Amino acid sequence: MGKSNPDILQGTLDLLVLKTLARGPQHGYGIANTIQRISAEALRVEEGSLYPALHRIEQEGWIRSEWGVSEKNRRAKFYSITAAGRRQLAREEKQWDKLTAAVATVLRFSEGS
Amino acid sequence: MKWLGRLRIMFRPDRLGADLDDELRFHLEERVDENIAAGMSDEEARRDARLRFGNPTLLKESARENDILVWLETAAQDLRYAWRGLRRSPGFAATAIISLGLGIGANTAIFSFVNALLLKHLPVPEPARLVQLAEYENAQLTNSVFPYPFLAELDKSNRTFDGLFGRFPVRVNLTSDGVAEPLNGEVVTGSYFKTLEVKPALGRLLTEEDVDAAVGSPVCVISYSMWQERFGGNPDIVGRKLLLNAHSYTVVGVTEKGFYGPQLQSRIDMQLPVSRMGDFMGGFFSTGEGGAMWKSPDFRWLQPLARLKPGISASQAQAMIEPLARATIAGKNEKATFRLKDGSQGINNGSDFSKPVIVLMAIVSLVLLIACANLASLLLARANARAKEFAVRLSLGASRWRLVRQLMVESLVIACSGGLFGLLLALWIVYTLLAYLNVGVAGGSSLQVGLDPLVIGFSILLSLFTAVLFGLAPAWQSARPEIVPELKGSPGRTQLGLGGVRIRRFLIVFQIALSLMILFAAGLLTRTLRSLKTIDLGFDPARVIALNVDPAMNGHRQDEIERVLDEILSRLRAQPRIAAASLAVVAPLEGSAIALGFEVPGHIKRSSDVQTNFNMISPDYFKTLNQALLAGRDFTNRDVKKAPVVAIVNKLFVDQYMPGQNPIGRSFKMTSDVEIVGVASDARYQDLRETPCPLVYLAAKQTSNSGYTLLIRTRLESSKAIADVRDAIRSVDPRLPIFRVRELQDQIDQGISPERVLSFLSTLFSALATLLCGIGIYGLIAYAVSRRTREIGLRFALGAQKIDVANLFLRESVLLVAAGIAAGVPLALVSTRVMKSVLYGVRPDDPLTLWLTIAIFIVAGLLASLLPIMKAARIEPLQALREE
Repeated sequence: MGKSNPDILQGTLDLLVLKTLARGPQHGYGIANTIQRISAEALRVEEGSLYPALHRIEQEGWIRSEWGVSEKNRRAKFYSITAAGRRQLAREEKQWDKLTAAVATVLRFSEGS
Repeated sequence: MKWLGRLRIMFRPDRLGADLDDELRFHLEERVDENIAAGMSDEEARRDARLRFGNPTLLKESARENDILVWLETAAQDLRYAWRGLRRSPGFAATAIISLGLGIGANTAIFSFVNALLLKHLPVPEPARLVQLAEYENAQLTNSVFPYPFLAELDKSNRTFDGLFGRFPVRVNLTSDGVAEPLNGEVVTGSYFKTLEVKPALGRLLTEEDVDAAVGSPVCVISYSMWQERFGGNPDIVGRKLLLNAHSYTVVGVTEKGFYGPQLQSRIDMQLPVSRMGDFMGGFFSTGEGGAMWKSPDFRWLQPLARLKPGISASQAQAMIEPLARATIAGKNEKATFRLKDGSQGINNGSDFSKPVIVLMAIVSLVLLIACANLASLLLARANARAKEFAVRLSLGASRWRLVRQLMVESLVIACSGGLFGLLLALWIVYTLLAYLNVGVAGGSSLQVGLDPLVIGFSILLSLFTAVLFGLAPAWQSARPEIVPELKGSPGRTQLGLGGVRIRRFLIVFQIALSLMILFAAGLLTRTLRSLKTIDLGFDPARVIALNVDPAMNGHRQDEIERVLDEILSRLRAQPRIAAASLAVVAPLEGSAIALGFEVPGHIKRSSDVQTNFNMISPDYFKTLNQALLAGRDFTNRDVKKAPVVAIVNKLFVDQYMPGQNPIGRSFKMTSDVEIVGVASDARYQDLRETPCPLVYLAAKQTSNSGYTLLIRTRLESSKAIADVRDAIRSVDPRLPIFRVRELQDQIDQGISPERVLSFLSTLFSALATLLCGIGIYGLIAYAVSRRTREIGLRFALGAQKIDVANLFLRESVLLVAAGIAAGVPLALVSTRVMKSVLYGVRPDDPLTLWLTIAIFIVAGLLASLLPIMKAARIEPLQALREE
């Protein structure tokens, strides 16, 4: 497990999942692909680890799921964001902004000295 | 939402696994398709999909971790695992469960006494509103009994109470078909039932008219259990006539179930009107002037209890009744103040056992702490032995939380088993103790000690609490081994090894300190018991039978009473096995006393001289008790009402009132002049612990009494003569009730039964605590020896002598014991100071006891470390070096 692939920071997976689903319902495979594609392959989800996360987020009540049929006519579980999920997304985005701003400040500061 | 989801899953658990499988399969298939589309071979595409995906089983498990069902499932797994682990090491399991069981059992048993003695309330509505009234002078309790008019006035004219009543317990002799049956009754004032808010189960209760009329009606109310047990629950009981002390009384009602009167410690069978007191007190009170005594403003006898109006606090009420009370009892004592005390436990809640029980509760909780410390230490050692197992499991991907949880479940299993064992033990202790305490106690006691829900709840909570106490630290420690060294097979260098030993050393010191406290306390309590047992009573109680008789209970009038008693005494004296027999109004060391006022001419009064203690006795009293008559003469049968009034005084009386003079022939004033005809040696009177005080003996026939204690000195074992005594009394009056037949020595022994129980149990518990300590020290040293086997081998190989190696470990154990003693001595000295009131004849910092306690710990510590040290000294160097 301790390999050096660009694992997504713990906790940011929730944010990414919610952000992805805010654009419309998706199945798990689609979510993994979207995250990878949008981040231009920089972020890679260890695909399996997505499912426990989805399961957990669903139990938090931020997303819900239902079975449907995929583009290729396969039975697939589709996830969509709930109202509570959107509120959570807003919260997490704000936090993320704060964090990145803080990190950026630190980086600039150490460069300057 | 969250919980809803979990619940949903819980009800269709099969769906979860299938759902997840489907979903994961879909993902893999999609990926394979895409890979093939991108040009990979079928096999390559599948391999890549799986690689990207990770371990599906692991994922499934962590996805399911969130569910209750899974939680339950793993809990069951943990339970099975804990069970298996304990079965694999039965020695550990038995030690753990037994030591914990002893601790929990002792706590539960003592708590059930605390519950019965200190926590139970009177079984009436809103007991918290009940208050007791008491009179104080200079912050000293001077009186808790009051005259009837005072209480009646207070009840009538105040606005703070819903009711206030007085009561006095009496012995009632119920005669039916010529058989005498002694009962516990009480005479009560009119507001009794109104104040207690007791309802009738049948008929009606006593009213003000029944009770407070100049001559009350001959009616009574009986208790529910008396109705059930004595009268078979027959509803005809209302209106039935009973022969009580040879007077006819009508039963008007039955009180509700569970009501036994206003005292928790005794069971009252019936309530009677206060104005009929003469029928039950007999003697002087049965006629004329005495018959009206009950309403005399000078006769203090009734124990009061009041119910506060809702919303009024005891201190508010106290402020409101103070002026009223002082005005009503005016002229008696200006310095008197009145206080309202908690009455939720009824009248006189200070049982002899309250204080001992609190001391015992403190002791047993310390024992439990020691047992927990021992268990924690054992678990640490056990965890250390299993460090390798944990390291393997951690490296295989078990989470630390899971390991901690598993160990906690193990602790819980131990705690619950220990708790169950403890509960059974507690049952046994309670019944044994109750049987021991009730030996020879006449009259029913309503002291209900048992495992009620509160006690059982207490023991369950205690078990859970102990599990956390002894289980958490070891579990936390053992879930963080350093994986690599453990797996490499070099135990002892890990963090756990050192940390564990440090904690265990601390635990041992803690245990020794606590045990020392207990042992010291037990030592003081045992010396208290010895001081009490070796008190010079001033008389010899061995081979003396005591029993109570009251001819008035069979309707004898005053003049007949004397004749009946004379007849009984002369028949007893004629018995070959009986050496002497006499009567006394106050039996020695029973807690009762009669205090009367008098004046000694020429003596300047001090405030403490107003009253002194009296006893009314027949001739031969001193001969019966083997109490020395120092000067003058004993009473004779010629000292009767018409003859000059005479008295015998004790030596202290002479010392205080006529120091250095010959008292014989001198007089003091009571209602008439009383001439001193004899001087007796000093003897304990009311209570074993009292400081001996001046005492005046009057001739029984020159006073009016009915209820006496008959004292009989036998020539051989007194138990054999009891039948003779009964026969002699029966031959005079077969219907005369005889009650409380006992041997005086037994009665005195029973008087110190709280001290006896306290000394016995505290010694037992301190032995247990010391044993636990010993086990702890043994375990720690043995562990140190086994951990350093290799080092010892090396030392031997390099030429160390056995004594050097032994010293190595001896030093550790000596240091531990020394640290424990250093911590324990100040603790012990502070803690025994609060025990002062239960001690007698020994100071709370008694140096001899303290040194003895310390010596015991030094010996115990050495003994406990001896075995492992000997083992260390016998280690074979070659073998030890080859072992690892």
